[in-house]
Amino acid sequence: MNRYRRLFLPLALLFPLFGLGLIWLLTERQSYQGTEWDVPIAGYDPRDLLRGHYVQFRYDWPRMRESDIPAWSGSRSNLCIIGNSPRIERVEMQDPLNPVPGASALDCDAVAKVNPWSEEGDDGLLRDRIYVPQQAARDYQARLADPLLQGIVRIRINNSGYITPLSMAFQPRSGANGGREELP
Amino acid sequence: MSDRKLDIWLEAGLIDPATALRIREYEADRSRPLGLWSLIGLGALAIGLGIVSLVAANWDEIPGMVRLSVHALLIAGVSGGIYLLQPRNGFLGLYLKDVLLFILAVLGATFFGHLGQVYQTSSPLWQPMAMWLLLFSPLLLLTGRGWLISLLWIVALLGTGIAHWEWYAQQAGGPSAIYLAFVTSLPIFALLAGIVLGSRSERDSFWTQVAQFALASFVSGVSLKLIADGLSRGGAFGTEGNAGEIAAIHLGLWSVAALLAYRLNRTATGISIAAILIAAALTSLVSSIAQSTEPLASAILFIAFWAAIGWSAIYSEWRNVFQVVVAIIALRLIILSFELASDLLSSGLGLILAGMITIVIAILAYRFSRAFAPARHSVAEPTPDASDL
Repeated sequence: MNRYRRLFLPLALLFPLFGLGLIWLLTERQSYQGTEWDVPIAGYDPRDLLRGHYVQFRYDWPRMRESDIPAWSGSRSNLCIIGNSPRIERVEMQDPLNPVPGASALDCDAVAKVNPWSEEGDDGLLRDRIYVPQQAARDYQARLADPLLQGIVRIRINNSGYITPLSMAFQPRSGANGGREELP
Repeated sequence: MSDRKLDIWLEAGLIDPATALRIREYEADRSRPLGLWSLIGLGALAIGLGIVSLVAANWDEIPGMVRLSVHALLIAGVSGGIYLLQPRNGFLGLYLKDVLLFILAVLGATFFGHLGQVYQTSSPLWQPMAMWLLLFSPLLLLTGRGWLISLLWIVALLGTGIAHWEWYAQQAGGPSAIYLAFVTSLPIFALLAGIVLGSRSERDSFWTQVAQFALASFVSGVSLKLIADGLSRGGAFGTEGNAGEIAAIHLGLWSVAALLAYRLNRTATGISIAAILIAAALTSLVSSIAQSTEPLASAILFIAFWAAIGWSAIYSEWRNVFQVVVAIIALRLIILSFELASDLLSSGLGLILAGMITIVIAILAYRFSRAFAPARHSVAEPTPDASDL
């Protein structure tokens, strides 16, 4: 027994090291998978725009009413995204178990699901947050409040259908021509 | 050790000059260059703070991978330090190792947040907490010695439970009675683990601390529940429907735990712990079924629970616990007198009455505590009569 007891400590020390390393590796691998899309955002509140290091915002899915978006993880409905990555053409509701009678099967380019682990609770398809550098926070706040600029978030939808916001950009609103402006 | 005290005792005739001399010699041998150590500590602290502020100022400039690598290297380095300190006993082996364990555990916990920041991922709080608990529990429980580690582990365990409960309550459907009964019984499981492993480990004082912290958090939780039950219908669980159901499951669960606590530890302590568990289950059940918001009923249940703790304290001779029990019951009686006299409080007479009752209860409690508190032990024993309870 005493012989094995000497192994306890090294094993107990290595266990969390390997565990953390494995989690790091999995997170790293997961961060490269999936497809990327640009989604316009709306409905941010300047007062609690920045809570520390992140911006909280609301997705404004193209050609989709907000009330149609599934807002709880128990719902089996998904968002079916149709378009060419990263440009979204349109977004439709998809219920794999109860397909709408008569409607043709949707050919989705990506499927987004409510992430049951989201920090936004069940509102993962409605709201989200993106971490930003502290120095750029004031810049973001000014641009988000600017009525002439449209905020656009680049998201990645991974293989499980869960959304990760990657970066935020701005472009002039209402068809005015102009290139996208990237912020640091 | 101050020489002044020794002089006073010498003058009062409590010790003779030879004893005073021997005490002085003994203390001189044991004295450490505290001034030097504190300066070294101050220097180390300044260096540490400087590094932290340098990193913090340039946080955004440092690439995520570099930051994560440095974080991982720190974790590996502290782990190595703990390994090297293992064969030593004495000051370094015991105290410094516990401090390093604590730092390692905190570094491990912050690693999850750091990963989330670098990779822009998010998960509910209970997930990293549960993962941390899984990864670090073996290390902390196999090598921890002092209250720093036992308290950290109990806080992490209960924190994970509460975080999961909060998250689960937000999900559709809401938690079931059986889930709520189990998540609120987490301190009981920790208590049993402390009793079982304490009897088999050479670090029995560490496991006693785990059991003490678990029992203390359990007693606080039950007390809060009894108070919440008196404030609104449904009490702590909000839903009026399943509070009784939860309390019934608690009764079964906690009775089994009480039986186990007694079977595993057939001493006065074991009986006292079993008595507290049974009293908690019964008062909580009555409180949940009665759903009474009458101040008197609520106070009687609260005092009944604490009277059982008081009995346990006498039975196992936990002097400090007994004094705390008397103080809490007295406080509850005083609050009750204010609750009952709430319509009288607007008048001067009511205030005078409440004030007099307060003074009488305080004096009675003081006398009661002096008369009935278990005697102070002349030899310090590692029984759970520490002030932790």
